[in-house]
Order: sequence, then structure tokens, then C-alpha cells
Amino acid sequence: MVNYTKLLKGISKSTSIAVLIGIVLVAIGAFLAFGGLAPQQTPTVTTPIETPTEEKKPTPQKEETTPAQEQRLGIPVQKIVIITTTEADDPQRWAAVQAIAEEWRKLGFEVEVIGLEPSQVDKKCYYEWDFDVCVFGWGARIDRLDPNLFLSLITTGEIGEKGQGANNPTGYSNPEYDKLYEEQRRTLDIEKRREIVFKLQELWFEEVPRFNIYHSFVIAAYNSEKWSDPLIMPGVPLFHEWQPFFITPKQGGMQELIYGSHVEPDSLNPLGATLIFSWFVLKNIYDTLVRLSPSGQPVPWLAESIEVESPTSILIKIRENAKFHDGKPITAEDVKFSYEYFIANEFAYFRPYWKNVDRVEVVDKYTVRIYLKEPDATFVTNSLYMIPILPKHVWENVENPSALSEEEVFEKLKVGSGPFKFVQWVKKEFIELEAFKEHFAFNGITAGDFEVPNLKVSKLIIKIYGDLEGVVNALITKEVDATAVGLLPGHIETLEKYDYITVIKARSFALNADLMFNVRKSPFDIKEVRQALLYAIPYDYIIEVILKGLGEKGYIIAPVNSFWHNPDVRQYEYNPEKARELLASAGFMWDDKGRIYYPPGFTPKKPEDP
Amino acid sequence: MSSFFVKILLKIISVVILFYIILTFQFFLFRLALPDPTTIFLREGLSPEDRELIKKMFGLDQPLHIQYISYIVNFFKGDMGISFLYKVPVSTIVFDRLLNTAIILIPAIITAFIIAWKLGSYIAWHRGKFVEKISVVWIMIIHSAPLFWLGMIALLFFSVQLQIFPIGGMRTPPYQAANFLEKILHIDFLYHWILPYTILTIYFLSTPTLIMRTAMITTLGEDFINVLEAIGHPKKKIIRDTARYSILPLLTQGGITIGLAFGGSIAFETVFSWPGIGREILIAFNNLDYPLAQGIFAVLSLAVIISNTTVDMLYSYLDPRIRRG
Repeated sequence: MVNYTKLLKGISKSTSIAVLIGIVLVAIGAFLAFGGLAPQQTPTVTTPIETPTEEKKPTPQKEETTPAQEQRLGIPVQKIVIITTTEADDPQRWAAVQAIAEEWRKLGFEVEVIGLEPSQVDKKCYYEWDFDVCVFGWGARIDRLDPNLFLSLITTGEIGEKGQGANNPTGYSNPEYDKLYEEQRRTLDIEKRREIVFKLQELWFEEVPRFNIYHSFVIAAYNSEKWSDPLIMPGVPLFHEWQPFFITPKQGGMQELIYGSHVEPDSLNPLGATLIFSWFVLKNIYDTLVRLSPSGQPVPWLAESIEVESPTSILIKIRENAKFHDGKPITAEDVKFSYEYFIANEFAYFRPYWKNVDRVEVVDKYTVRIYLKEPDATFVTNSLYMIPILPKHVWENVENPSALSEEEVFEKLKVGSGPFKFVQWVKKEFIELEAFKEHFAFNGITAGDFEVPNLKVSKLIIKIYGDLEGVVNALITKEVDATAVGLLPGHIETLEKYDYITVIKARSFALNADLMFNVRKSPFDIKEVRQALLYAIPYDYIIEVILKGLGEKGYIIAPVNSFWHNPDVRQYEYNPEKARELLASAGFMWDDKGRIYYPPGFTPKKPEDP
Repeated sequence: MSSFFVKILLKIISVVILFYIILTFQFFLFRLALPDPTTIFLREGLSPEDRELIKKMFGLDQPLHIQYISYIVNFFKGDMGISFLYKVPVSTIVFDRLLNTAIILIPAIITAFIIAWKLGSYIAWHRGKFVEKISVVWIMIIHSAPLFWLGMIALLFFSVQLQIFPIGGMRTPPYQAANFLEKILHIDFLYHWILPYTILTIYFLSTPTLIMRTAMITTLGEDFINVLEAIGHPKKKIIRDTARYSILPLLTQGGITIGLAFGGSIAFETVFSWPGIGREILIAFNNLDYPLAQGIFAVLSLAVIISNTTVDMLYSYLDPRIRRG
């Protein structure tokens, strides 16, 4: 008894001290793990094994007292470090990178793979340019069916400055490519633009400073006992703004459609939401002037017609029968207000969409003219597709819309312009939307040459689960009708056991394994080396074994984006012999052990230290 | 008596200082460990200029010491800042999710400890017998099973196979509820609540049962038990008295469990799709949302400090010897 009480006294007295010490230890541990360890890796990434001179021009190194063999072979190629995301983040990308590293080792390179958290990969590759090869990805957003963003990824303009985090960390700069890129952006004639986009792809595949290894399919599933005929969009098969018009209830009439998701919107404030998932929801509540068809073509939506009058002015006529959810008509004033409102509030997330707008002019009650600062071929597919039309009478007196409280946002959301009215959002549980019976497309409509049937969903509910397993289980127990998020290949087998579930494997245009070479460094500054490395990638193995057949060979503009995709580019197949030939043609040599060396007399380039 | 109050006062002061140190620590820790929070907008296709605008909006262009001072000052005013991700005050998010977590965690812990108290004393009394051996084995099995695993097995069996419980969430959507009370005072809530509650109770049961058993065995070795038995006290009464006598270690464990349970609730909240605070921690880190991460950590560390301090004080109330010592 006495011993016991003593023990308790000790605990009681030292509790606070113990907690403090614990926190200090945890803090030191965390600092070592995150901050402390990272810089230690730096030397292995940047310093070549043989430190060359800082001169840029290849100079013979006759003065150096290297062994005879080394002299003949030149300098050995330094270790290649591939930075990618962790296995937990994307198991397929991780496995693919491991397979690539294995093949590159066979070519005589020394290769190391480092897996980091996504944000750390961005920091190292995009901000610090501290990498040899970096593999990450770009998601499929419907507005990216327009080739502009992906084509911009190797332009000089996207290199930016170190520490800024621009989109082209490869450092690749090619005036010919830049010129063509600018030209396609300014070419409003779609056929002419397509020709230039094709040329850009050819140039890209010849130069390959950056390369996407594969496009994986997006897996989704829905309850085919209750629903039929969903419209499959590339990249986002089931959960998109067209779906409530297409998916048909087996019972007939209008039914409640419940989506399951483990992702939740960040906010539904149209001047606050910065996740694409939020915009998938918001596009049901607020209409845009244009929607994109499954093939990526713009179709007039809230706009009745769009006329490009000159390279910098667009005349838009809006539908006269369009109404807000409070019954007030949508007029040219509201369109003008919406565009100017996003500009005036400097909504950064939409800056790519509004930065080129010069001014908006009301022509008559239902006609507006948008003036652009410079010709922009992407304006119709990107800006008109993304900027929602807000009711002027609800928002005009809101001074700082991004700082609205949740309750105020929900109040404002009640007056939308889209096919669904906002009912409620219970955080981490569900979002409830209700069909708007007076919407102009309620009974179906012909938008451009795209036939839209009548609305078939009376209530749209998005139920939020803790993880993907929850969504899958809910589909099995019929708690949800369809998945709003992509599933994993392992789920297919689980779900196909149930005859009331249909699994969809949709092609996508996402860049799932976007491989970048740091062309500031040797050997990646040599085109033949980049090409050789790509010829040494086991594409078939990656697609058949790692992706289990649920994917296809990678391009920049994916084959599913058929209008913009150029199939006649240089094809990279798995061909180690060709890779060796290419390396040999560039003067690279191998020693007896198979290790690769730079051409004799070649001084490897390394980025200048600040 | 007055020295007792002085002690409490000193305790409160030390708690406040401790809390301040924690706040400072985590403020710098997150900034050292995590990259620039606008990094996540890179994948959304925003250019560096666009991201500069976002930085300015959240005040991230200010020097670090200015950010620190405004953070501490605002925190003690009750303002934990605006979440980068949700764009609403952190305090509303934390309070809302904390309630959701508490409504399942606290009842589960209390039930677990009441059962543990009874079960532990029962097992200890039957020491060496078959019933003790079999229960200890089972408790050890539960003790070593991870919570997410227990939850997943329960979900697969009861919800997917038998389909007698829902997959997750607090209520079947859509439902109307003006406030938290309205949300939970409903049979549908009970239906969603019962499975995770049972699993949590089973999970929390093992440690206190073993502690109770040990404490009880120690007490049963005391001389006065022999005396009680000798003078012919009924067995039931002896168990009851001894169990009450051995409750102190259980109380310590209780304080620690409640304090830590909120932080460790990620597993069951994810598996059961429970809209609680644990899931927000994960989301905050994945989205580099410093204010939210800081807010949650502050509240969680406060929970640990408060529960430990409360147990400390409860001790001195229950056991006068500690008050004197």
C-alpha cells in the first residue's frame, strides 16, 4: 500500500513536467524528421561524383592526372536521383518509377529513387529546382481538355525564377517552341490552332525535356439496378455537371441521386472555393455561359450564342428564359456584374480566367460584349466555362465576399442560376441540392450541336465518407448510387461480385506520371540522353503489370482528347538496344563493369550555385 | 486549507504557462516542417503571381515575428485565425467537430471504465481460476488489435455482410437539424452511433481492466481483507469495498485516456466516416492548412493538460494523503 501511494504521488507531481518534456522530444523528433533530414540529402542530389570545373564549354582535361582508362572514357556519369511521391500517395506511380530505375541501371547509370510527400516533392522540384529527374502528375479537370495548360509546361515563360514555383522546373527553353505556343494561344480559328498544336506535340516528343509515362483509367461505379445510361466524361466519368440530365432512373420520372465521396468541398463560396471538387458541386448551383461537351468542345449553355467578332471582342447573347432561383430573370447586367466582381475582388484562384478580360459592355438586356486585352483562343473553353454567373441583386452590396461567414454564404447560395438549388451542407456529412423546375434546360435543350435531355434527378446528394473503403461499402449496401471519386484497381474485383453494380473504367487525360528532366544538368542537357532514357522505359510492363491493364501509354495531350491529340509523334517503345545506340551516338561509353561514362573530354554541366 | 487554494492557483498558472509554450512551439514547428501553404495551388494550375495574391490574402507576406505576435494575441482573445482550406474561422470548425467526437468518445470511455472496474475486480477475485485465464487472454487479444482493424472487421461483418448497421456517418442524409441537440436526439442518430460506440467501448476496455485487476490483486493481499473475511463479511460486500478501494489507478488511466483519445480518434473516425476532429487533423496536414492544424493541436493539448490536472485535483480530494504531501 505504501509503495503504491508513493508511486502515485510521483506521477501527480511531475505530470506537467512530463508533458512538457514529451512535447519537447516530439518537437525535436519532428524537426529532425522533416527539416533536419531533408537538407542532408541535398549533396547527393546536386553534386556529381566527380566535381567538374565551372566552365560551361566542354574543355579537354589534359592537365588532370587521371588514370589512363578514365582519360579514355571521360568522366563517369554521376548518380541520377529520381524524386517522386511516396508509395502511400500513389502506389502505381511508385512501382512504375522503381521499374524505370531498374531499367536505367541496366544502361549503366547509377540510380536512386527518393519518395517524398507530395508537398515536399513540389518544394524540391518546382520551387528549389533541386532534382535530376522528378516524377509527379497533373490531374484531369474538364477545362484541361483545352491543350493550352499542358502545352505551356515546357515554355520559357513558365520557368520563372528559383523559389517562385512556376510550372516549368525543367529549365528547358526553346525559342521555336515558345513562338509556336504563343501562336496557338492567339489563333482563334480552331482548325488552324489544331495544326499548330499538332506541331507543338511533334516538337515536344522530339525534344522530350518532360514526358508523361502513362494515363491511368479512372475507375468509377454506380448502381445499375436503379440507374442506367450515365454519360461518361473523360477523366471524371460519373461526377460532372451533365450527369443529372443523362443518368436515367429505372423507375422513371425524377429520382434522388446519391453520390458517395471521401473528398469534401473546401468551401461553396464562389469567391472562396479553391478545390476543383468544390467547383464540380458549384457548377450545379451556378451556371456558366459555356459548358464543355464530352469531346471537349465548348457548347453554349447560359449563352444562347457566342460570336467572336474580332480577336479581342466576343459578343454573347444569353438565353431570355433563364432565371435565378428567386424567379428574377438573368440579364446582361448580371453577366457584366459577375465578371467584374471576380476581377474587382482579385479572386486569385480564378486569375487565369479573368486576367485577360479588359472590360464587359452591356449591349442590350440580353446581350453583352466582352473585350479582351489580347487575343486568347482559350478564353471560350476556359474563362467562359469556369466563371459562374452570380445574381447582381444578391452580391452587389457584399464588400469582401471571400470573408463571408458560412451562414452568410449559405444564404447567398439560395439564389443560384444553375439547374439545382442549394438546400444544405452539413460538414463532413452531406451536401443536399434540389432540382430547379424553372431552369431553362429542365425539359431538355439543344446546346449548339449537343443534345441535352430533360433533367432526371429531383435531389442531388453528395454523401461524405471517411475513406474510399466507406464509399465502396456504401455502394454495396446501396446507401449511395454512384461514386463521385475515382476508385482503386483493387476495388473492381470487390464490386463486380455484385450484379447490381456496374464498374466503369474511363480513359483519362490526366498526366499520371509526369517525368521531368532537369536540363540545367548534364547529362539531361543532351537530347539523345533524354530520348535514350525514354526508350529504356518498360511501358508494356508498367501498363500490363503495374496498372493491371487499366491505363494506356502516355502522351501530353491524351488520345482520349481526340480533337487535339496528335498520334503522329515520335513513338517511345521499350527498346534498350536503341537506347544504347543513341547514347553511343552521343559519344557515351561504358567500362568493363557496364558503368556509363561521358564522352571523352566532356565537362558535365551543373547548375550554378546562387 | 488556504494552502490548498494557493496550490490550485499555482497549478492554474503553470497550466497557462505550459499552454503558452505549446502554442509557441507548434507555431514554429509547423512553419519549419511544412512547405509554403500555397504550394498546393501549383497543381491547380495557378502561376506564381496568382499564388502571391493568395499569400497576401492570408497575411503570409508578413514577417514571421509579426505573424507570431498576432497569432498569440488573437489566440488568447479566442480567435484561432481563418482556415486556409475552409476559409472560415478555425474555432467554429474545431468546436463543431469536437462536439461530434465527444458525443461518441466520452460515453464510450465512461462505459469502458465502468465495465473495466467491475470486470477487473471480478477477474482479480477469481485469480488463478479458468474464468480469469480465459478473460485475460481475450482482453490481451483486444488490447493488441488496432482500432481501425477492429472497426473494419465490425463494418464488414455487421454493415456489409449482415447489413444491420449503416456504413458510416452520424445520420442518414438528407435530414434537417437546426442545432447539435436536434441532430442527436433522434432514433436515426442512435442507429448510426451504436456500432462505433460498441467498438470504441471494447477498444477502451482492455487497458483499464488490466490495471484494475492488478490494483485489486494488490489490495486483496492487504491484511484488512483477511480480517474482513475472518469476521465473516459476505463475499460480495468484500469485492465491492475492495473495488472502491482500488479505484485510484483507474482514475489516472481515465484522465490520460480522455486526454489522448481526442488526438487518437483519426482511426475510428475514418473507418466509421464519423465527422469528428481526427479527420480534420489529416485534412489540415494534407492541405498545409497551418491555422487549422494549430487550432486542433492547441485544443488537443489543452484537453490533455486539463484532464491530467483534473485527475491531479480529484486525487487530492479522494485521497487526503496526497493533499498533505
